[in-house]
Amino acid sequence: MAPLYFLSRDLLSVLRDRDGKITLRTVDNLSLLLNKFAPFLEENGLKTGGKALKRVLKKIVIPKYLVRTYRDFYKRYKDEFLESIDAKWGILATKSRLVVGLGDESIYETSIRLLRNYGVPYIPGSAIKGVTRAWSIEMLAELLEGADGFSKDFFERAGEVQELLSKGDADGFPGKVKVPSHASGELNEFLCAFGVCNDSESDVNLRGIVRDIIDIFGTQDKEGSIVFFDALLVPREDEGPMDVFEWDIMNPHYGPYYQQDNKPPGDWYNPVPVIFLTVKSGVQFLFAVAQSSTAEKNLTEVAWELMVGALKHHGVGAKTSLGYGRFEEKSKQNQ
Amino acid sequence: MYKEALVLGLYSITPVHAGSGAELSVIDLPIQRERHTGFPTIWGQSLKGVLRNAFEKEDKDKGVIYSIFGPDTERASEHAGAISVGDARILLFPVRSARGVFAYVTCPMVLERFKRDMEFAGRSDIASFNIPEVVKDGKALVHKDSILTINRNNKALVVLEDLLLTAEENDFSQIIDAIKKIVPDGVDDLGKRLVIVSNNVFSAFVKFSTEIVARIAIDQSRGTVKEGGLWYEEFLPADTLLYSIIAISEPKGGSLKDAGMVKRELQSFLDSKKYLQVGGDETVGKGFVKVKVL
Repeated sequence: MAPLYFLSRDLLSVLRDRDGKITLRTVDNLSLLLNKFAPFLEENGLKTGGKALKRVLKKIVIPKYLVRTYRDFYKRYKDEFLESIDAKWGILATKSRLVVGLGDESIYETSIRLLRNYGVPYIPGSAIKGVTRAWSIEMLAELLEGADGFSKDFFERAGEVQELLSKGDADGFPGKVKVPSHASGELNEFLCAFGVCNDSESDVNLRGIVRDIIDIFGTQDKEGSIVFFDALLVPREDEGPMDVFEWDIMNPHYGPYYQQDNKPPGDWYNPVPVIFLTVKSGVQFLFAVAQSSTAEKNLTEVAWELMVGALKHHGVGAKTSLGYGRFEEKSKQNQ
Repeated sequence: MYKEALVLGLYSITPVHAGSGAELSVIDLPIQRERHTGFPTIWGQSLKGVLRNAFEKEDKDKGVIYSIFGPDTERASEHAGAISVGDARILLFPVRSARGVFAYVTCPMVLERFKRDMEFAGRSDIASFNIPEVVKDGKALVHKDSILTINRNNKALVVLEDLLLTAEENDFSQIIDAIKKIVPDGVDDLGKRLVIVSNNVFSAFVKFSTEIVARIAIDQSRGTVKEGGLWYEEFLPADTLLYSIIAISEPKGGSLKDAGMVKRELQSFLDSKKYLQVGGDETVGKGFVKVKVL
């Protein structure tokens, strides 16, 4: 059955295809299509949402035409802009599904962040900076296990670290700390970003590391010294259509338990499937960092390594605790 | 009083948040707008600050900086700077299009103002174009090789956001040539994407289809959003074109001798810089604009 749209008849007659649907065949910009032309299907009442979208749009492929338009923008951005401000850039690929902006305001239950003008997925610089900082805090908390004046509980300790960093209080950290003999590979990668590679049992100058981290991310009073740019989808060289999206499903069983105070988490509730759009694994994005206008020390390399560590181990976007949003490095880098 | 003038073209490469402060509305951090039109703008004082910062960062001679921008704050009363930076005014605003991905939208009022401003700046070479007088609300004027039109029943149509407009082909060569003079290099698809809509429709687009982004702050001890850690921020989208006029008078202090020297100094600096960062959120990649100066 053809979906219903709450649009004027004139507009509908222009945008509907032969099957009565509005798809990428008639609307070139996916961001516009998802934002403004929501399909409604009859299912115990008239409804829209991920399920209706999936039934109407089926598999979403970025058409050739859009890839070509977007590629002009991408080239300008990478070859002219990033090069001329002396940014460090590199390409990483998703290793698992990625969904950024799942909770953004939307007529559907869920959402995905797309470039406004081009309708292709991207990862905002604020999200990248956020996870890089979060991962750095986790690694510091791991390093501070058993340290005086810090909580025994990992998460409380992480909260304390965050508090100190926000205030720019490097002296609140111990001057030196021993690398634990059982340090995880992840922690070693973190230390390696500061030039301390695989030195278990040795002392590291923790305060020096903390100062660099404060410098990179800034504090409530001082701007950070590094710019984290939006990560852009890498367009196909041959300008062919790009198959980067995948439908996904979450299926919460205990809705009443989550939403109401007095309900137990019982198996007798019906599952509520929620369908949402993700970027699939193996899709390449261009990441970039550069010095900000107030930078004094050049920490671009350190910030880049921290960012890569965070993308590999922490993940970016929604559902990172389920393994979403992980990246792996591709060899391509500019410096 | 003013001896020379420079015209500045500003093309946003990433979204720009030139903020006007906090506001009690759905949007916590709105962008700067003109009081009388509601059009987005970047205030002259914001731009002047950006230019001065960029100059100072480049370790330019203090005398040069004092001549152009005026002395440091504590000696501000000694003499004024030689330049007067005008508010950046909007010329082209990108709007999503059902056909052609997105359009550069403008309107007669904006073009009229652009023309007047160019005349003021002594650039009659740019100001020599004709403007379509009135555009009806349901109309969209497009250039002859437009990629935005959809043909239905022998009628050409344009769909911008969810607005259906009747397209009318026009020869905009003059207007395109004028705009091209202030567009930084690399933007080649102006003619194909240009749409002139009525003043009302343009006004609606710049008010209701800017970029609104939800931002959050996470509490590391709990892994959830901090108290008060959700806010909505407004951005001028990437691919927006603005322009500003810098009027230059004779320097009243510092090391530069005359207005011509001030002009040359500014021009060669901006030619070499190519990009400036304007407004907030620099460290998350926002506010980068490509500059053209003439």
